[in-house]
Amino acid sequence: MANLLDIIAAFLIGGILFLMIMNLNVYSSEAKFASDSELLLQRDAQTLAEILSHDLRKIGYGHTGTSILVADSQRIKFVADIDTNSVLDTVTLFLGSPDEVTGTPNPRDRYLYRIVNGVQSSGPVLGLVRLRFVYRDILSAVTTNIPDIKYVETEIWVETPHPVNDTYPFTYWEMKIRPRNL
Amino acid sequence: MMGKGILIIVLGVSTIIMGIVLDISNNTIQGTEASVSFFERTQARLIANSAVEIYLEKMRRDKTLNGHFKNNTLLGGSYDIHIFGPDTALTIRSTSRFRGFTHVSLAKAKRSPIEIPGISSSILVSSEDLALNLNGNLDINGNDHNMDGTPGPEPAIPGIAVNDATDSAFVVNELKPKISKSILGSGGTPSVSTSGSSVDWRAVAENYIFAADATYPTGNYSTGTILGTAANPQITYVTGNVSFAGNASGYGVLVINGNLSMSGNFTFRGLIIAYGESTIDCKVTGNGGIFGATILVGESVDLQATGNASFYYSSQALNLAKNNLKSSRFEITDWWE
Repeated sequence: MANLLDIIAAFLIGGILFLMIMNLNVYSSEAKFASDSELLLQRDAQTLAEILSHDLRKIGYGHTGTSILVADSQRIKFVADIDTNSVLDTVTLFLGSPDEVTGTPNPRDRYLYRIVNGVQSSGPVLGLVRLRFVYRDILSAVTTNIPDIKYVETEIWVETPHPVNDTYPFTYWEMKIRPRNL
Repeated sequence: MMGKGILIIVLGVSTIIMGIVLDISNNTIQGTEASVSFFERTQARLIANSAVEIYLEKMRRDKTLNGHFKNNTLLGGSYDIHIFGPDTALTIRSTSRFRGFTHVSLAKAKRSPIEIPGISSSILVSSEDLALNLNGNLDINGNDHNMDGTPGPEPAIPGIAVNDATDSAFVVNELKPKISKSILGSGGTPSVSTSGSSVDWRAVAENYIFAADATYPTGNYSTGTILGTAANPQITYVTGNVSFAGNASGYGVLVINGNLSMSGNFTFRGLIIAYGESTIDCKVTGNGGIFGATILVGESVDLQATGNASFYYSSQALNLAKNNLKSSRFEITDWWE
């Protein structure tokens, strides 16, 4: 009888421990997933910021006259010798449609399109869900008059490609760039 | 037996938890590193850009500066600078390094030419209070001369110009008959007129001072003093009262913040500006000569001359200065970062 009670008690304790381990495993998996997603989010935002910063800082390099050709809140087109080969390039940056991204569960993420001299490239989906350009004049006032543009303010919203606890964590970056050739 | 089992289970669970904690901690570190690397890239870019600015400032002071300048330190990083090309198309390439990140910035610039405002007379006196004492065989001539004294190609301008008609009448009245005949130029003899120029000569002088090739303290300068040559004219700045004597000579632009005294055979070919906050005394003796133009600016100006000094308008001397002197200002034509 005593042995039977020992066995029952052992099973009971073992069962509780097993459940605790299982619960801990589920929790740790979720925590790790959330942590991985957060890391990915930061890296994606950093990569996007570097791409935009790399291009926007070169607006007008090697070109005289008005270097920005199109300036609206979703798209910017400009002239610059972007690769310093003494040949002017035309660069367009704009945000694609959410429908174009089918490989991720996030319904809002989009491609950042970068067209250089008519050649279109869209890198991996980096969770970009929203992009906004704001243009400012020498006094930092918002302007839509292209010749007056001296600053390009860029806002990006980035979300994770996969949901974490049924939501898509997001991060926001803002850069105010003064292209020296403007 | 059971105690051992529990111990094994606890150790196993602890190991699993430790692994998870380490993994999450590693993610946190990597997340921080992502932000830090953005900072490091930005810092590398800022170092490269700052290096360009630093060397532009050095190029303002050293007008012949070019070549490679390696392993300079700045803001915890380092940078190399390569300056090449003519003054009209300078390229400054800056390569910076900061914690493993490298950034290149390129600036294209051209050195702005020196500006000489329109010269409206051989001697211009800009002052509220004017005193004159001209004697001897003074020769003030607004007819264009070459630097060797032969006639120049440009139209004549007045020999002396002053601020207003009252000053002009004062000058004419003060001139002795012999001197009066020696002031030649446009408008008849004596060639004295009012200056219609609105040039701010103090500002012009300050621009030249900013670009000065040589700076001299107040003092007496005699034979052996060379303020530029025909092949290498220069912008010379004298910080106070100055006296030139003997066979001292110069080409280019001479700016004097104080009184000017010339004697002996001192000869200058180019533009002389003597200016001050109060009285400017300009004393001329001997056989010296100015080919170009002389500008005297002050609250009051006292011009005294004896001897055989000559003040000749010379477009050739002024053009020599204009075409050969370098300013210390740059126009940035392009910037790649």
